[in-house]
Amino acid sequence: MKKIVIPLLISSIVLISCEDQVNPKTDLKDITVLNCIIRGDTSVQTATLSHSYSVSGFDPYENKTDPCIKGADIKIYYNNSAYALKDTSITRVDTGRYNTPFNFYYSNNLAFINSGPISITAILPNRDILHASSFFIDPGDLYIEYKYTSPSGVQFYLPMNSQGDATYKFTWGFLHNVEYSENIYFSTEMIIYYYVLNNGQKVKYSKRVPLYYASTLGNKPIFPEIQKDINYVVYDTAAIRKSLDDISLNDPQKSNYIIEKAVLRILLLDENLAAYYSAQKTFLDEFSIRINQPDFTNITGGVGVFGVYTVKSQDLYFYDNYIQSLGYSTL
Amino acid sequence: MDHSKRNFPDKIRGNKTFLFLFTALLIIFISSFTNLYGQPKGVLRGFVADSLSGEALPYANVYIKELERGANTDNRGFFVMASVPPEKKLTVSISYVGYKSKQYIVRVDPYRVKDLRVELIPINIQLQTIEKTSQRVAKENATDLSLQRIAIRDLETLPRGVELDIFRSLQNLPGVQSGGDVSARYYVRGSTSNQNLVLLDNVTIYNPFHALGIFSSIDPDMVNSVEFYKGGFPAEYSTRLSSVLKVVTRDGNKNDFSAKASLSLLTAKMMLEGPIPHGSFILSGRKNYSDFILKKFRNSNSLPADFYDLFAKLNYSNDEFVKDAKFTISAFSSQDQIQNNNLQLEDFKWSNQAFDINYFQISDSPLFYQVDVSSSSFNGERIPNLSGAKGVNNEVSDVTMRMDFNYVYDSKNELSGGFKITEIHTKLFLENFRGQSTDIGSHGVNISAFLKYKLLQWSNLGVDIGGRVNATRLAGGGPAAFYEPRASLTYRFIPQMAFKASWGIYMQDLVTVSDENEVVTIFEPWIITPSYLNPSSAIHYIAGFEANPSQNLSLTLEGYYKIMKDLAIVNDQKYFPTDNDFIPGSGTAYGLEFQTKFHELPVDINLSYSLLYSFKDVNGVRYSPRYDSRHNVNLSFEYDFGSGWSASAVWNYSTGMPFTQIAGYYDKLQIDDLTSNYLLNSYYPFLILSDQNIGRLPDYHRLDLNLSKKIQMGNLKIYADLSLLNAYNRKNLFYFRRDTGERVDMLPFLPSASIKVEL
Repeated sequence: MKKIVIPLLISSIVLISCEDQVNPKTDLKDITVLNCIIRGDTSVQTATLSHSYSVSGFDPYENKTDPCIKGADIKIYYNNSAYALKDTSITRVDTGRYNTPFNFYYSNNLAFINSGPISITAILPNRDILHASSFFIDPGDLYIEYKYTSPSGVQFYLPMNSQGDATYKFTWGFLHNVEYSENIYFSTEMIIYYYVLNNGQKVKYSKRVPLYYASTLGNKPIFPEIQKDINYVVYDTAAIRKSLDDISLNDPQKSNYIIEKAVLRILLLDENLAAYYSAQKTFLDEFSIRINQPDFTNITGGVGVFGVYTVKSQDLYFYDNYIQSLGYSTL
Repeated sequence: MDHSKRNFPDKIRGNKTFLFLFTALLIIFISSFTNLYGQPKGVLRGFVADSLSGEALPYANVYIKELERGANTDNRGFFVMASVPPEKKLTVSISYVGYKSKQYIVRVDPYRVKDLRVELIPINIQLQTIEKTSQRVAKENATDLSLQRIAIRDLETLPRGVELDIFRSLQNLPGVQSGGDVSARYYVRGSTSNQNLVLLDNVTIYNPFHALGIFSSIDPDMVNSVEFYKGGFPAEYSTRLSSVLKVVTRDGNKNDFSAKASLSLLTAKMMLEGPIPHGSFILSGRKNYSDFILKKFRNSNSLPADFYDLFAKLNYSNDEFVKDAKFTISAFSSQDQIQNNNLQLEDFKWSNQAFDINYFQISDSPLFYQVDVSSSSFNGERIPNLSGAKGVNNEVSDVTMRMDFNYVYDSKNELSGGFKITEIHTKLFLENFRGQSTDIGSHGVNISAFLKYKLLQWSNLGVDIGGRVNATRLAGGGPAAFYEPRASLTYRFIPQMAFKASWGIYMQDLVTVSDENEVVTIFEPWIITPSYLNPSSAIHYIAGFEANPSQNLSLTLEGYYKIMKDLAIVNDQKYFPTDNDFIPGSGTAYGLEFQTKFHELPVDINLSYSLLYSFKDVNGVRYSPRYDSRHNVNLSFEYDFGSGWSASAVWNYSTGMPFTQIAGYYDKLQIDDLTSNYLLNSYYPFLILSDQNIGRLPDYHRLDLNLSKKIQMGNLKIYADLSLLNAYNRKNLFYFRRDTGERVDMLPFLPSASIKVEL
């Protein structure tokens, strides 16, 4: 009896103690990815189209085959016209993963005339259809106002020789009622453009200016966020001054630096691009109890983003004497 | 189809005032009616305690032979038997497992309360003889569906794992799911763990877990008894949707000083107890000293956890001060710290503090009442260091005053009521990656009252009807007041079999910020439900049968259907800072539970099976939550060899937990800078997941073995335990790392030993 029971017991224990094989992966979900960000500051519009892929292991970088989809029929519809995007490729900048040319679709004749609806349709070689729509806002419909709070300001010139806690407030608004304007998200950026003389050659650079430096956070630069329902931004004078100083930090040859101007850019994003961007960036930057990064898509029939992005710029010039007081040169 | 939306009784909620008034009037009507036809009757009331320590014996059996009537003591050791014929000699038998039974001849006077104080003598722990109980008779018409009463000594014979843990013991009950070997967190009948109320005496403990939740922070040595409602709980309990775990602590030795010390592979413990003038004290402390065992729970990864818990309680009872009254002051503190000593990793610390003053009064009539003033606080912090994680700091403070009473009529019916005022402050400081923080907490006051009537005058029928009205709520949207009606019924149609049912509506105003897909939850921050959400609510329908074909065998079968509404779900589609952190979701859970117990010395066998279906509906998508384990089997076998030797085996089986599979990757456009030309060069692989929780991990099963030896030499008692956890080294899968595919298993084969010395 013992001869039967003991081996039976041992073998059953061995059997049930074996680990079950389970695959954390399931069949590949066939997904098509369409990305197209309409830029209002150019007539060249691009789109990319690719498909999902699987790898044998768990490192997606194992995939060395470019998943782009060629031969699709992509059209952008705007202002009662259809603009076909051509299939093309360029030399890939980063060949660490894929060493084939980078494939994309483009149109170079999409001129924006006014605010209005815009959409994209992609018909794949297998006849699957992807679609998305949005609204283009003409930056010409926007105005910018400037106010210098203390002491008295000078219109459209930055009086950088001022002292104290002065701030610069820029306000914007629509010149007339624009459809879709309540769904627009705004962000701003102020950029200082300058040249550096190097062996007699002028090389152009730019420097992004933060809203302020947070003293409680070790002088961390704080930049504007994407927000809805805002119509102004306030820059701290000290932040502009520090940005100017940082241009030539540790370089005693200040006169080699030629300050051209600053540019204030109001970035207008449709809600699709704002959500897509925010899902990536705001997750990190903002107060949220959410643990996982959310994923946003507005592509019907696939994933990706079809968004619109336009810019309204305002040049801002410094007083020459102020620039020179910092040791810099002027144009 | 969204069953929850279809079935939830909005009308009931809407007509809460009417319902409450109706219930109250019904109770008053029934109670006045039952007083009308009265024969001269007396009341037998008593207190049952351990003769050596004076400690109350919960759930002891009281049996009047001539009347063939029985009762159980409550968790304070008290019992009341109303409607006792006066002027008759009655034989009252008191019995309790592990104690020598006693018999008393009593005579009850009409319209008077006869008090009986019983001290049972414990049997030497090395002796084999154990008294049989009269439990079957005592439970004739008790409205106790879904209630498990557990005396702590009942747990001591089971394999204890590393050391005895009440929460882990609950996981052997049908309908209670665990989050795996690595977590003492439990899930009851398809609900999240934050829907479980944990009361230490009468005080809510918000995060009663040590070391990543591997162990509970309530040391079993300070516990006298445990009451656990898996659902359908009566009106005296509130604030949670799913279950109530009431832990009743010991009073301490009233007759002698004694000390206990014990050592397991995880902790060292010390307990002191003894008499004080007109009372007793107990003081216990526990501290971990090694992470050897903790590593085993974490795939041999180091877990730099440091924790302790402390408990102290003072009891005072002096008839010259206040007759038949008992005053209790208790304090509980637990603290945890996970200090990685590596700036690239997060650190954690959290603590619970609780303080309670209780006044318990027995009146000349068969009336008990008690007043509690208590406070409970929780502090938890995630310190990100340079890990890239976000910092979190959570504070909860709860101050509660409550008064409860219980009156027993001559007819044996009972009227209970009470009110409760709770003020809760929550703070949840969230940090962004700039190191700035903001508080999304709030505070509120909940004022509520309950009333219930227990119809027990017929020996084969018990009805418990009542309700709780929340006059003010902590916060949140929806109605300012909320009514929670409850009802429970037991009908014993033959002596060996009873039908039981219960129904109730439940409300919860506090939520935790938790991601149920996280495999390990270190602590769950609590906040008051945000004002943009209604309070979470649930409705329970439960019915079942209880059978006792013989004195040694019992069988129970229960079915339940639970609908949950307005559950606060973390908003996965929060794209903008202005979007809400939570969105409302709903849930449905239903299932069947079967349990059979066989007890015939020297053998104890317990077998249970549960079938569970649990679903959540969020944003129009229905899925099974992680704790939706379809089939569960628990089998325990205990054998008492005599002379202090005993052995036990526990085998658990459960269907694998749902998980979300990898369904491929795609190259996702990354936008770092809106103004750059990202469309042509900025992509990174992005994981495609299958439908949520559509996959299932392999089935879980595990066998634990235990051998115990109890030695008594005079006053010295030694308890030695040897356990073999996961005896056949089953490789139960805990999770896969999605980035590497690495398989992380649960607890491997692990021998464990503990020793406890009691003087």
